Amino acid sequence: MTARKRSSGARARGRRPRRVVPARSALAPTGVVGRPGLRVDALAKVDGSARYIDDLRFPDLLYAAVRTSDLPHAEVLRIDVTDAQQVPGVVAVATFRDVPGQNQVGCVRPDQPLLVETRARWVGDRIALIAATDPATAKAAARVVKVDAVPLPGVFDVEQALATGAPAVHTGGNLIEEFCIERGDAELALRQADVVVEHRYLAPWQEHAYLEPQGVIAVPERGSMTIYGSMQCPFYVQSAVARLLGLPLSRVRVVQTVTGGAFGGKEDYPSEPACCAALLAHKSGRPVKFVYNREQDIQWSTKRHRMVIQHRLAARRDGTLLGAEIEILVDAGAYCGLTGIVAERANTSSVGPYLVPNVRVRTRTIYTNNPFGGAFRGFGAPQVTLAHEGQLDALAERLGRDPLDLRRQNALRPYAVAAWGEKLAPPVEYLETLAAAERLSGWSALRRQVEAHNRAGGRTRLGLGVGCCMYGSCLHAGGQHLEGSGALLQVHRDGSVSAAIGLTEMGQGAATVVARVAAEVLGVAVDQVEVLPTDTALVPDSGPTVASRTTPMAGHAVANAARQLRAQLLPAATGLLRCRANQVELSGGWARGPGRKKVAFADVAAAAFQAKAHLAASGWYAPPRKQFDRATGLGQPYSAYAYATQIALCEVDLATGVARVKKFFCAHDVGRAIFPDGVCGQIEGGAVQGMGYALTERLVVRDGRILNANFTDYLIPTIEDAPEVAIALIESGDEGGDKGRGTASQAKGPFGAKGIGEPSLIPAPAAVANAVSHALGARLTELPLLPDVIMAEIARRNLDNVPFVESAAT
Amino acid sequence: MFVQSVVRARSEVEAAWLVYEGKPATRLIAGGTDLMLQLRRGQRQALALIDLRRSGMDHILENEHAICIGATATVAALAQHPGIRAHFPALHTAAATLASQQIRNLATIGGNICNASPAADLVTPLLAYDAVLRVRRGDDVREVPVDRFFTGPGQHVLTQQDLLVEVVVSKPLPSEGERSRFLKLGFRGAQVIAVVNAAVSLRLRRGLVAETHIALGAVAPTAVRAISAERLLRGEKLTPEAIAAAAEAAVDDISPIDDVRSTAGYRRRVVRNFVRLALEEIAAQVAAETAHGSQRSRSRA
Repeated sequence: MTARKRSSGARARGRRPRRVVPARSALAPTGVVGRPGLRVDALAKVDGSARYIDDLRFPDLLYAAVRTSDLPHAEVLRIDVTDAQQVPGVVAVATFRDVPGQNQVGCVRPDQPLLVETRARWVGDRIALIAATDPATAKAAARVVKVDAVPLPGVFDVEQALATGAPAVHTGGNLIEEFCIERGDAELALRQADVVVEHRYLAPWQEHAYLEPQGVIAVPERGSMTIYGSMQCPFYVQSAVARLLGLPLSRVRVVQTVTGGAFGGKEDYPSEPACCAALLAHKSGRPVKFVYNREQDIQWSTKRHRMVIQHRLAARRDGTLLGAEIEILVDAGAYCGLTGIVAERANTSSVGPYLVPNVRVRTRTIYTNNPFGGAFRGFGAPQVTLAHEGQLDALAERLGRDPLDLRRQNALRPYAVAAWGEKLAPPVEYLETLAAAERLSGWSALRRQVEAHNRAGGRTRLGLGVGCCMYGSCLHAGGQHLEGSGALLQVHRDGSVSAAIGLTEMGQGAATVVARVAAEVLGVAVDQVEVLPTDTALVPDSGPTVASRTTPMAGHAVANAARQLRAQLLPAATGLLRCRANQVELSGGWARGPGRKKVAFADVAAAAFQAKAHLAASGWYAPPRKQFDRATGLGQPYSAYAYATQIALCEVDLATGVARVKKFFCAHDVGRAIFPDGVCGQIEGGAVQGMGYALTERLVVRDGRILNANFTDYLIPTIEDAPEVAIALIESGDEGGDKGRGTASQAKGPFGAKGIGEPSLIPAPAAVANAVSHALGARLTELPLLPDVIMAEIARRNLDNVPFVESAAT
Repeated sequence: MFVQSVVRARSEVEAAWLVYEGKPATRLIAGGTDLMLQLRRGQRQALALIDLRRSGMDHILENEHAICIGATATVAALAQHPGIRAHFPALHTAAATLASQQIRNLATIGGNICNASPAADLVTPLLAYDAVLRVRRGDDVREVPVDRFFTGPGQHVLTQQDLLVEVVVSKPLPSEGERSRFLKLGFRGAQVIAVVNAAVSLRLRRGLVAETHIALGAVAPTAVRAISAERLLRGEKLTPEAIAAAAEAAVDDISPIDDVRSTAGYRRRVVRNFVRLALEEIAAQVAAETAHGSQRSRSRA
């Protein structure tokens, strides 16, 4: 095994990651996979030539504005748009009466009208849409829409929403659905245990804060609609617009434009602005642009779900875990959206990568009049990870044990049975991530240093915290019907290659991964591969770009298409090289034959074209079917698992309560790093986004309205807040399959790659919260740990009655 | 209401007369880092703007008694000025850490003052140094001490005809042994509005506090002086007991509120700690200088 390591952050740039790779593997890549290099889209994004949605113009373009509800919960009696229609420059005004198809944008359940009919359920609910010749006119017209509404009592807390007599957000009550895991006898385990640790965790909302706000342009033609926009899931938008306009899918085309970040916030949500623009374009017959400003984006778009987690963990005195009883309440907001799917993952992930024989988990999703919960990097897992990792550290403290050691003792190993009853096929790389993080951080020495610093007294205290996770790669069994994924590859007669995929590049690096996989299989250079914008007209429905599934799913589909093309090219290569097909090697832009004979790939492509070979291929990949029982929460929920251990070193200033992450260590099981620089970039980004969630990102919500819908008061980390991040990559590099009897398969991506987008964030908030708790010697269970929250603990115990400056005391 | 016209002033005189003759709903713009956001969010309205950026009021002039800072001098220029760094370290620190480099390049001292935010970072140092603001109305110039300038959040004593043209900070005499500190609490490392800021200046004579100004921001409708804390310190030695007493007293000099950034209770605790921290740092500096000085005199002897 070889090892490489990399640190980053303001202070240490350019060091390489520590990589743990098997020496030799049958499927080991020989070309560009695993090598350093540039992102394929780097230069266009740096020099400004990349065209985002707001850069695009169409003739006769109109601009959209929305009139939303002023009240978080109200009966709407009358909507009067006559004044708005008379504002000069207004071309179209639409209410629910103008919807030709279904007035519905609920992406899983049909509970969400695009436009309010009689009931407004939160402040983001749309009442009327305006299209005008300029944005200011549209906005002014939206203000003069008259709405007669009677306020209804609202409900803004999940626990209150479940109480009898609570205002019902929808008829049928506020409980949407329940998920569970029932295995063994958790009650008995808790009764018989030597130790039970119980805490209530509060994981708040989080704003995605992508750099580019939501935006779309709808372009109508007779009987059809084309949508351009910033998005993650063009096929979701296609279905939503077709349903709204009553059109067949074939008449709705969706083209993704260069997307400046998404993080889940452009999974389900873009269907809403797209439907608004499409309805106005349909009504006016002109292209309509709808691009949010930052305040609108934060106020209206989805957030990471707020969850309340009651967690009881039972153990023997020697640290062996015996059972867990977990109650999770998920605040959906006024509509269900993806809440059920998020809750399903939270439910499954709530125990963590530990051997716990007796498990009872209950997860309930609940309507309120609060901001709308949706997809966000980690998809319910960061919230439950805060809880299970908090519990592990709390238990370690109670038993006087080393937190890493306690995790090692209870770690899931190959052939162990996970909380959901699945016997895990090897490789199970959790222990490897623990060991790598321990080495990377110099754990024992660092712990001694921290203890010495805190004994010395003074203005600051240090703390060390651990966060671990086991991430189910790709979609949950509940969504596996969406798991098929496609690609279209074409070799041009000059040897250049076009690649189209059904999943999207949204800043995470998918295009680079796709180009590398195609280049690796075809034996061309990466810059010979052009990755096209994702377009529903080019590639079949490939499901959503979510769940860290793009590298595995689109990767396999591209590899599949590239292998077909290779077969089409081989006759031309054998002709040019005068050899047999099995003697030809395609690599690095050359076809090599026996001896030292070689011809350029371009010449092979030209010869194949002359010979009338079919030089396009459609690739497809779908993972094997998984068996899962929703009623018990048992079975095989995911195709593969990615493990991670992260360690945070935090410093708390006793004078102000400010906590900072000083150093951060990440050990990730990535299967295979196809683009190592990209993997490390994603890990750094995910870790820092998780730190923001833990420390500074507080959404101030009163009566369902966000009071800090701006970047002045909603504080995401800056480069000054980003610490040095050291990374270790564990690469077992094996595509896996059905091996090991009685165990499920470990279906991974091409060359054994696993997605890293989400595991990079999931343990980070937990690690930071554990570190701050360690520094203060108190368990802090509610995020974000802003200075005022920390100060309350400092003040309670008068920890700030120390000299802040040493020499002043003498 | 949308901005219909923008007039660019080419000199201080022209700016002063444009302001004097300005119609209602006319606003001044310099860096625009606050105003542009306020206009977009509808927090302030304007039909016409007078642009001061080319009015030539961006000087920073130093003589032996004072530093005169033109109203449109940028925060970045303040941060880079060696005289400010040497004589007014609290003002230097406040300027150097305000927002981000991009904002410092645009934002002006006049804008920071006239926006009249209780959290403005430059205002607490100006209070600690007893700065004087020169205000022009047509051809008349008057001086307003900074502690009489603000009347509430976003409000000050200037009328529609008045233009802030210059900020004057008088240098302490070397014999006065002035030390000063600026402390800012924001909830992240950079580009953040203060939840509390504090500037403290202090002069010692024969080991006793001869004069001190303790200015606190974001804890009252305007930036305020901690008068009772100052009173407790005057004539005292900088002992840990005196420092602690002053820090406790400062809490009674403020009237913080709960807002989207934080709570009143938290701000009180931080004010207490900030006053103590600033005074402890000054005491440590004095102790270090005294030790250094006596060492030097011993070695000379």
